[in-house]
Amino acid sequence: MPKYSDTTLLHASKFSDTTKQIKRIIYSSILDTGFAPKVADIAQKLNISEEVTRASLHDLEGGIIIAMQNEQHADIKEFMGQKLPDDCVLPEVGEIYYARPFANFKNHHHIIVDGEQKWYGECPIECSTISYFFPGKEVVIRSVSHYTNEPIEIISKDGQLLDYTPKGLSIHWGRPFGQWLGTKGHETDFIFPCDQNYFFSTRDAHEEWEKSNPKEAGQGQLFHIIEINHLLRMFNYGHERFDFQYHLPLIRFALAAISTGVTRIKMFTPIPNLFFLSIVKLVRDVHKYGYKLFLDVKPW
Amino acid sequence: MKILMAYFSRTGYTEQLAKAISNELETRGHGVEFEIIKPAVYYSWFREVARDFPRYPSIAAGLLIPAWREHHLKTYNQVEEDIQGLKYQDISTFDRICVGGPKWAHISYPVARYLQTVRGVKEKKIGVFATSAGPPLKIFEMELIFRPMSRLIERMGGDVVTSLIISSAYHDAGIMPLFQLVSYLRFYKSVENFKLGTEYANKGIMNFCNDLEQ
Repeated sequence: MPKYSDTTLLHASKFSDTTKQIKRIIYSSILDTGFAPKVADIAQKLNISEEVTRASLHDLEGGIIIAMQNEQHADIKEFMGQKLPDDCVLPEVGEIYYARPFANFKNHHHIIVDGEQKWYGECPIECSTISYFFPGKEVVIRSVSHYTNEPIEIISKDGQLLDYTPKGLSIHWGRPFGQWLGTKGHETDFIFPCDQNYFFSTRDAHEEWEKSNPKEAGQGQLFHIIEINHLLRMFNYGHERFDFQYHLPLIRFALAAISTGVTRIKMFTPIPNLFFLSIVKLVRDVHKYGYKLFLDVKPW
Repeated sequence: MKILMAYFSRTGYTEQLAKAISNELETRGHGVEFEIIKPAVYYSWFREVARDFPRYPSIAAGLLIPAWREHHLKTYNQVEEDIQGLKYQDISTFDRICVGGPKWAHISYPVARYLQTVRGVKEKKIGVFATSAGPPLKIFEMELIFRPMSRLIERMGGDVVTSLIISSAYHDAGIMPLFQLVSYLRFYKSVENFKLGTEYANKGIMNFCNDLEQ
């Protein structure tokens, strides 16, 4: 029995064949070399114009699969609160910056498979299920905790969390969906939503950081690594396939509402987590800024 | 002495306690080796809690009727779950053993499985420790975890020489206001006074180590 339903109740939009081919080229390159190809190289490989390639990349960006480099991130010295390594070469403006869950430049989220480290993670949230891209292999993610700079390690296999250190490991989800595309000065900036996603070694460390940075911390929410893994395991299932687009398995999503942090329990009362409600605004913004909604709704 | 510190931690509080105890033991000149008990699958807190739901009415009845509590502690069915391979399957080479985990309804499931799996416990002096959301309530927190743990250990020939419970002041189910209320009613102070780093915890760790050394 497949893990999720084969029946799709609603295809909001579907990636074109060219877009799927481009996704395959991007991810093959990342898995082989650790980095994504340049846009011109993709166009050349498929023998299509750069304009057509960019239209497909625009769709992939709208599908939250990739993010393109922009002016705001062209000269960053720090990435998610950590100094970038000296040998880090940032992608040029208009090139691929993220191919989720991978980053197209060296940073402090190290991905290790079979003792080999040539991949870099895009953000703590996406990192939690990066092992989908290495079927059957144990994937180790080494990074550092924001604010305390403690080393952290996550071991996972086929999307499933095997171990994590330290045991208080939590993830600060920096921006609710409603701010992703509509924030003034960052309209259609697909890098911006992840800029403030951080690992925290303990809840106490997050509390201390929250006190010293109330403005930055106030927008986000802290999730335990198990919650994030459960949530992303559902949405990222099949991410390694070239035809992947995010899916919403309705029954499973409802059943996992508590384990994923979408519903929180306060004094024995389940209360929907307001943090996720602004997804309605994201859907509206997707339309507003001329993107298509690439999402499959499935019964389970 | 060569001491094994075996613990399971889900949200990091038990790990902090295990490290605080081992720091104290190391300053006293003992060598400490760690065994981190890892469940085979990291389930959500709700699923873990749900597995013990059928025993909740019995626990509640036990709080009201001492005779029922005795009966419950002797007869309840401890839930266990699969754990990953152990670093030290046979612990007979250690002089002292410390075993700890969070207090769920009773023993946390990976620790329960660990105590059933590990070999070489016979005639070992063992210290047990735990973290709980609430204050160190004798019946609701301490008895419900330490008595079943002691029973399991003693059944294998080990000897529980000391125990320690510290509050994490954190509960996934968001019921801390309830524990705060109980703490004020029972101890006239906040749960925060039973967390790691407080006088209660420091004294408890010292006593735990003293008992373990004897």
